[in-house]
Amino acid sequence: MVGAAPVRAAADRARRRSPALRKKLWRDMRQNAMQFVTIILLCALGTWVYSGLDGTWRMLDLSAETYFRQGELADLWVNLEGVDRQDLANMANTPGVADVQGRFSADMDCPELGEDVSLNVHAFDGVPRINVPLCVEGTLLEDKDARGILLQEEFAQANGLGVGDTLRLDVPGREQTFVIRGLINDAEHVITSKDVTPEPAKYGYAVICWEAVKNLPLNEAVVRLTEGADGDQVERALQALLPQSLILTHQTHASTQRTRGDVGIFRNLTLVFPILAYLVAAMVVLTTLTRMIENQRVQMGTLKALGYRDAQIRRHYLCYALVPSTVGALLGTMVGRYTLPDMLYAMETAHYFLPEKLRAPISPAAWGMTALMVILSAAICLYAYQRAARENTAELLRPKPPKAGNRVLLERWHGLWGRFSFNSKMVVRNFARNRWRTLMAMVGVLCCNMLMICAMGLQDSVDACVGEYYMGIVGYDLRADLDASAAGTLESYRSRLDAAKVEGIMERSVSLRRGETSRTVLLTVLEEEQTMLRYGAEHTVVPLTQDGLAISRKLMEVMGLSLGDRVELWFPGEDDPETLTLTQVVDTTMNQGVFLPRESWEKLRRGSFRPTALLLLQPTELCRWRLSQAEEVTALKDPVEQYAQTMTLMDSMTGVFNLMYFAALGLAFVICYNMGLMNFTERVRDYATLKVLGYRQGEICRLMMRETWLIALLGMALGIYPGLLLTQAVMGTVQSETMVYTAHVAPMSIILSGLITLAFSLCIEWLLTRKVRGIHMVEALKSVE
Amino acid sequence: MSYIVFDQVCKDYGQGEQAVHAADHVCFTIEQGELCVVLGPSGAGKTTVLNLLGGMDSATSGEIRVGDKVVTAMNGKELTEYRRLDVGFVFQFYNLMPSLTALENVELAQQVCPRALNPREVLTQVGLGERMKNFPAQLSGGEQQRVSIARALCKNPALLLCDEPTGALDSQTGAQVLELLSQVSRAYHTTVVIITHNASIAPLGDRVIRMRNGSIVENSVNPNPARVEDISW
Repeated sequence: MVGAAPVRAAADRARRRSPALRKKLWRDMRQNAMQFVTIILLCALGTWVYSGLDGTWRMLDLSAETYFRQGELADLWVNLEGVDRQDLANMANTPGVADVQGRFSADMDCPELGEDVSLNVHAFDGVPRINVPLCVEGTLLEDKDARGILLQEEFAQANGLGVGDTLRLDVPGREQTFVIRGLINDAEHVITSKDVTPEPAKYGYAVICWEAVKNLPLNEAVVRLTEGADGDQVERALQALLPQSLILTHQTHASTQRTRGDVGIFRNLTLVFPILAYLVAAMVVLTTLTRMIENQRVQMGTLKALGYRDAQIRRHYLCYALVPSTVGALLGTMVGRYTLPDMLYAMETAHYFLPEKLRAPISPAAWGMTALMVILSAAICLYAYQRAARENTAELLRPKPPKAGNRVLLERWHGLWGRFSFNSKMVVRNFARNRWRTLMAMVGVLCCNMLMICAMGLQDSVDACVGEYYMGIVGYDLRADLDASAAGTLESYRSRLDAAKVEGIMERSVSLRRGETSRTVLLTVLEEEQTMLRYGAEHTVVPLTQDGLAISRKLMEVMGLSLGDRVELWFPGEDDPETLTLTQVVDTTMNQGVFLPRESWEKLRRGSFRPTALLLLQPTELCRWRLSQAEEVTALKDPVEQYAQTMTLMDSMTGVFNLMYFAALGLAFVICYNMGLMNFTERVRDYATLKVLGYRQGEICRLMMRETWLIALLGMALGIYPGLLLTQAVMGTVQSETMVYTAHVAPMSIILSGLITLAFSLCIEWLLTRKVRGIHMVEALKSVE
Repeated sequence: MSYIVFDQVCKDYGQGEQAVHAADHVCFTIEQGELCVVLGPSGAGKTTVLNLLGGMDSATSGEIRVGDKVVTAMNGKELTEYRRLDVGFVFQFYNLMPSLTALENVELAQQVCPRALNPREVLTQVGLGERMKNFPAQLSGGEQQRVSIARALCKNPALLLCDEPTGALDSQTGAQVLELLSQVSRAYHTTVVIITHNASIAPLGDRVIRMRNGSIVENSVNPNPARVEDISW
């Protein structure tokens, strides 16, 4: 008896640690390696997309916002012809305004660097306190340095300029030479472009001292608000103070709006698609785990019979879920966080000028999704275990009798049923026998097809939106932007230019206001008989009404206006607004604004109709050349090129859509494989019997795959409509203020997603064929049914 | 020459010192049309011999001939064809497809065999004419085993291999199944090999092969096989 107590204690410890159970767990995992790997992959895929997209928008947001903060980005830009000191003082005294600084801003040509190379130059009155340039190389400007210039880093690099070099600028009224004191980045120029795509070799920005251009009036004030000030209120107060001014906010300042808009779009993209992909992955993980636990029934009974406590067995089976889901979910979160944001950020910022990339920590939402995956898996595992453990040990030890076969509904129609081949009958019966399993597999394929259609549909929708504008609404072959001050009359251009048709439009920036709402928008004045801007349905030309103002639908929605509303149009530098009634809505996917016919414009008596752009149909080469040489032509725009340029700007979104697409592909593959594998594992005895009966390899595979194919086909067909709905839902979340995205799924995308699902089925057939070859008849038939 | 010839057949599992000799230089012959009972305790190597004979497993050495075919020389594809055309199997646990009716289970064999018999007729012959449309779950153990036999017979095989066909049945049902196998052997001149651990079945056979520890200990011809109703276990 001596020493019995320590021996018992050791045995108790060993029992508590259950090393045998742990061994069983690892061996089971090794034996069912593929199933555990699929669970890990599914958990990883589910969390990967979410964590990746979440990390991307947070990275972009953090980088941009930090840059805005460091660069003391203005809250308001007040454009005003001739700002005087008194105006600045009045603005500074407005409640909510922390600081105001005046400056002269204009585009200036750089004749030394080429004909169409220009800079957006800001001449600050004093050392910049707002929109402070961040010096990359050299030094910032000393106060009143009339010779120095700070040049955008990318522009300098693209033009081979460096600190100490000189640069000649066409300052209004004269040419002036500056010495480059430093290379800079500027928070108000995250995206700087003259046309669609930023081209740093041709267009950039620079900062000089106002002393250098002292003869020119200040024409812009940048404003910083106090902490917690109501921006709208301050904007209204400033507008009231200087009614003739045009005020830009973060919502209308192009660079800031586009940067924040992109962050918003990325954030919204994480709302629908990744969560759905996550749910699909979770659903398949849960059904797989349930089936795995159910297949462990006899072993559960054996453990119970051996005297293992319920808690021990429960813990053991809990590990079935905890181990793979924790590994998978963590893997997905970490890999998603450390790969996708960097990749997508690089694509996103290809057209941005952002100084540094800041990694956002993994967000609580992403951690939450990781934890949820593990909790869901553990919960379903416990549920499956509890359901099985409800039976007593003797019942558990008796293997579950195979589900009885039953007649299916189809058999009532003898004629139809009789036409079915033997294999088809077998497949239909199997479906009926394993309804739940079949349904889940079908839902899995359905969801994947839905996700694939959505991912492709999103790309189609963006293509359609941009294409709709440049290939549909726009009917001209060439647009020539004119310097309004030097432009001739439309008639003179018509007589001079060799093109099938020449039309002119006049565009002006105006402030559109109603009550307390205001926006700086583009007013386009069109000729009555114009044919090249087709805002009607099916790209037809709609005549504009003479008795009021036409507005684009998106702008009307954004400003909360409706037809019949009286709105004010404020023209820069003029303090008497025009009050007009909104009488017409036009549909345009891009370039939102307000529209007036020429006659109505002329009735306003605010100057004659002078084209700011010529629209040309079928211009000859000579005509193109002439325009390119003309002094007053500031830019030539080809819609086809603009379409291509806009699409390159959309590359970042394309990156996200591709990511979604690959996630959907990955999910589809893993789900199809998982489905095939589970079917195979559970029916290995049937296949072994067929093998013994002399069925050939191919015949067994065909039989096996017929089920998979049918499920894939049904799931694929049933996934089309939800795919279209999902595309609409996701498009609904990525709307910007300037673009109208409508869900548009090309038939090719539907066909392609279907073909890919089928190709996966084929691929899986090939993988499982190898497994059929490996069925050891003797081993498979040994197990007791 | 005998219909079935086992010549020095060995089947080893594992290698070196840990090798288990499941069949150790097994030699026996069986004539065509005989009902042969292979008898032995658990672990004697009966199932190994049956698996080798049925082309479900391959021998480590030795030669197995069935008619003019050398089973041990066949590759995977040839073995499939051999099982498909020449051999019928009856399993201890029936191995029926639960989603197919009795008739459809038999048709499963008919599908792959060009000289197959009419499944309905075969089912009627095994006494299941009235239960053809029932699913396995709706049949008793004996009935399921009869479906399994019908499935094997439907292929009209030259060789019928039965692995403990009465193992999962009560004695009365077991007797019915043995009677059926005996009839098949006589009526179709089919060579039937039954493996069993149940010695009381031995008198039924035209030939009795006794095995122990992977070797043959007796191969005797029974000139007067007993009738099923005369034996009891």
